[in-house]
Amino acid sequence: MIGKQELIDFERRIGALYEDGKLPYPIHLSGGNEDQLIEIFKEIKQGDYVFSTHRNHYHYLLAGGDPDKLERRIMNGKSMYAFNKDVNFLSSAIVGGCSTIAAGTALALKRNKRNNSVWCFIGDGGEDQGHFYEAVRYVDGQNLPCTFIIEDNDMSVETPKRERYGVSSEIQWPKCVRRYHYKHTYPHIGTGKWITLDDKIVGEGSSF
Amino acid sequence: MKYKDAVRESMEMLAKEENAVFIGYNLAFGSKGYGTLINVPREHIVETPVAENLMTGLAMGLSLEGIRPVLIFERHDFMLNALDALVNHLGRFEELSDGEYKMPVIIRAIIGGTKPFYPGPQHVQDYTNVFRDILSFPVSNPQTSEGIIRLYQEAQRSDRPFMIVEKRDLYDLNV
Repeated sequence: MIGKQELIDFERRIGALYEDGKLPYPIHLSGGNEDQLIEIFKEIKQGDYVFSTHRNHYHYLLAGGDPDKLERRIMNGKSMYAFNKDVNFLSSAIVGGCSTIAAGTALALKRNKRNNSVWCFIGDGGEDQGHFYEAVRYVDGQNLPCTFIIEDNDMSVETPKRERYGVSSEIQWPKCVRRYHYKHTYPHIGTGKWITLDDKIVGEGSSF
Repeated sequence: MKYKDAVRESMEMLAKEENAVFIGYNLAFGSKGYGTLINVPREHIVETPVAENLMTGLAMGLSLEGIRPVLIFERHDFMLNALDALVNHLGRFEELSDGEYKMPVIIRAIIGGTKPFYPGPQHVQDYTNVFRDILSFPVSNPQTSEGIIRLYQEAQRSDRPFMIVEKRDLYDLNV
């Protein structure tokens, strides 16, 4: 499995390409959750499915996806859309979008008596979606081989829970849902720096 | 042949595939898909909650493991709950994944009946043209029994999503 420093270096390299103006696309970089993810991916077996989000680079690399293939995708504007059938990896840039699909694949694995599982990563922003509730209740009730991991950086786009809901307390989900907390080392989008693109100085998200 | 009998025969044809699964609510119980699934064995049916986005996600997820889903919506009105799954996911994954993932989901999109009881504006809406506008896969609306049988055969051969719009008001007609 890819190591912590290689993960950090991969995102630094992508961030540098972005800051050099070589990447005229939105990028959502991972950072600050390397240790937690490495522990989780030790449980993920060959043949398991991994569903990810717009912030998918770490998941893809830890699932065993080819780094060069990922970099090519990112250079073609598909940072938010990492797929790799060799390692059963899918993602969606629609917040919470993969949760019900993950439930369906888990249902298929159970029906086909396959000894594999599904792992679905979402943020605490994805947790806000009703689609997530539908998927969790179904997986829990039907006892399907699917684990949802809430990657909780207390941030939906750039807004913490207390501002979104009035409280920062957490919902208690059934046992198919796990949560880890981390402090994200990059902004929601981009690297937080202004860059020059087509001779214009531009920024994204909190760099405005 | 009645339109409804053409649908029922088409479902029996699809159910002959060992890996076929019919997904939705009121399929194994109640009306059994308005009577169109009466001859489909129970093990081919995944009875779901009334949660249209979940139903669609289940169909997509099942298709990744070689299962052939037939996703059944009783009414267009209720399908609107599934638009994120249909438009952003089912209709986009092949393109987003550079062709690595195809999802051959067959969708039955039924327009609610107006007779003998008129159920009002949230149960009879026809969004066929809207679906054609926003979905990136075929949407067919056969008006005859022959068309029903031909299009379900075509859908079965396809390796991509395929939507067939049925009109409940035609069910009891010899068309």
